Amino acid sequence: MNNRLREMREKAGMTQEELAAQAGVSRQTIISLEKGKYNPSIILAYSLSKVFNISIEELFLLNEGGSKND
Amino acid sequence: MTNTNMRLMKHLILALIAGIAVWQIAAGNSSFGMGLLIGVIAAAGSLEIKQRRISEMQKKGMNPYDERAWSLAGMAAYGAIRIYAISLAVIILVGSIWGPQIQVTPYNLLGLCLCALLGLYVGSYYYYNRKF
Repeated sequence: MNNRLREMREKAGMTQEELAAQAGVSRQTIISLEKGKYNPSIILAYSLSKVFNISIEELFLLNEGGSKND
Repeated sequence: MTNTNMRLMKHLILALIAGIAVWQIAAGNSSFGMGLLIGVIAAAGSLEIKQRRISEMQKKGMNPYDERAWSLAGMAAYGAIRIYAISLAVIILVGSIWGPQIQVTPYNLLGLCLCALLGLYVGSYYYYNRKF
C-alpha cells in the first residue's frame, strides 16, 4: 500500500513527533508508515486522514495486484 | 490492573527477589545470592530507563503501546516460539541418539530454557521492528 503521509505532513509543516502525538501513536509508527513498511488498521488510517482533513482514499492508495503486505 | 498497581507489583517482586538474594548471601550461598542480586539490580535499572522513556513519550501525547507495537509483539512471540520449538525438537532428537549423557540440575536447565526463549523473543522483536 502506498501513502502520501510524508507529503501531507510536510505540507502541513508538521514534524513526525507532532503527527504521532495527534494520531495517538509512536514516532516509530509514523516513520514505518512513511517508508511504506507498515500498513495501518482502518482506525489509524481514519485518525491520520482526520488530522489532515482529507479522506482515507486521498491519503492511502492500494496497489492493485500487489501482495498482501504491499 | 492500573499502571500504578502494575508498577507497585513490579517493585514488590523485585524487592522480594532482592530479599531472597540477601538471605542467600547471609546463609553462605554467596555465588547464587550475588548473581541474583546483580540480576535484580540490572532488571530494576532497565525497568526504570524503560519507564522514563515511556513517560516522556506519553507526556508528548504519543502512545508507546500503539497498534504497531502490539502487532510486532505478536509476530515476535510467534517467531520466537516457532524457532524455540523446532530447535528443541532437533536438539532432543539428535541428543537422544548421538549426544552425551550428562547430569544437570533441573532448575539450571529450566533457567537456561527460559533465557533462550526470552533471548529469541527479544531477537525476533528487533528483527520485525526493522522489517516493519
